[in-house]
Amino acid sequence: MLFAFRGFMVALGFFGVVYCLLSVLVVGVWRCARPLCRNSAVAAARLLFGLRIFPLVGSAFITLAFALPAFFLLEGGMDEDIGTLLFSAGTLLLLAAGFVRILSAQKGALHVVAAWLKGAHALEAGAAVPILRANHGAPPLLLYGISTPQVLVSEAAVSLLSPEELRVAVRHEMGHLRSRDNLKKLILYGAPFPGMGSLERAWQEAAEFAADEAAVTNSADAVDLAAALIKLCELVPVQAQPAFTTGLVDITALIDVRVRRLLAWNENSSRFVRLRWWFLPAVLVTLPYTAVHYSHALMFTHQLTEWFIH
Amino acid sequence: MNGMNHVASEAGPDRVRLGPLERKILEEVWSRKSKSLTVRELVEDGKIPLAYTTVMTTLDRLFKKGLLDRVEEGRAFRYSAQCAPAEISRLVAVAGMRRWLESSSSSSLPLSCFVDAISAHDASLLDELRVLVERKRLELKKRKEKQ
Repeated sequence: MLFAFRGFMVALGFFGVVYCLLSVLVVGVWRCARPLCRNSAVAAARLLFGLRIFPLVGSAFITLAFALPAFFLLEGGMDEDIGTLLFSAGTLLLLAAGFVRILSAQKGALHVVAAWLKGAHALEAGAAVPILRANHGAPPLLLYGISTPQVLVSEAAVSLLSPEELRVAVRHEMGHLRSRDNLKKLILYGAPFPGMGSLERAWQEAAEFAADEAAVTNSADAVDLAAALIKLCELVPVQAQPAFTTGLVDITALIDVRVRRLLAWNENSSRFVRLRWWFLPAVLVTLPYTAVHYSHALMFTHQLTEWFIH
Repeated sequence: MNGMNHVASEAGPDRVRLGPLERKILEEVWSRKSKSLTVRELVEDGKIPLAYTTVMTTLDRLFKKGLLDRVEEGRAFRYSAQCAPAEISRLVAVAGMRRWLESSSSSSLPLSCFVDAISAHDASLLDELRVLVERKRLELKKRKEKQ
């Protein structure tokens, strides 16, 4: 039992160190690669989110696949020292801070959205996701919720937009829903790291462009969405938008670019970029190689862990 | 490059107000592949037909404004840009606003004026976008009628 606890502590410390190292690497890579993200909005949004969560996923994978097995298979003595304790405590603190951050933001969001939803009624029956007409104070259009998402449409949006504009604006929110952008925001919220702010902003911008692209199927849709954006960005928000939600006019500074992009829309730019399987060959080569050399990899990881801890 | 000492300006970019010569020299620094130059390199290049001392004074002024960084290289200085070209417009705007705020006797007036100015800017931008949208709508309508 004590041995398993020690293994958990060492793995936690290892995870923290690898997470920080990978995060620093990503911040550096992002600074160099920023000008390269000029491709399709969907591809850019995926790439940027992938880059942002790479430290979290990468360090979790390395810890679970290598550091933990290496400890249980290769660790003999009881020689953990203050280093183990410090690293694991630091990592626990980091994880706990992320968790508390998520909980408090979620609590605040619940409170705000509950007020907007008091007495709200369905705007459109039979939609895949409930579309509700929200009370006064709600942002014009908002996608709320992760497991049970809802689209909130304010009174002002209903009265300002034409039926076509409203339909395409709701489709924009559905684009966010399909991309699971609220879940992605929650993950980013729970894994903060200094220097990641500009990467997160770039992802949010790309996610808005991607949702615009997902909402539009022809030039008329593009013009309707552009008109909706212009009309709605004039509405002054009563209060800040809650966490883990996406609104149609989240980033007002981006309206100019979004409208111009939409007006320049054509059939070719509408093609939803499918996930390219360019990484499959790399996985097919890496997996058998790792399987063959797994014992060496474990020994190397064990030595690395010892070096980190001591 | 032995004995190079990094020298930082204490002024910071809050004193940004660029004259034409300063802007020209800054552009020259940005255009360099090495992103750094000495006074002699700039003069010998011949793109700026000015006396050595004039160029030296201008570079020194840009350094004191916090726009250039410099390191000692022998008996001279090697200058490099502190900020990107895009950053300059922002710094100039910020410096201008700060000067204006400091010069005003009423503390609340300038901020409200800025809000008005920005709102007016936003409104004109939205008007411009609205015109673009209407023009596109018209274009689509005409195309539909032709078909």
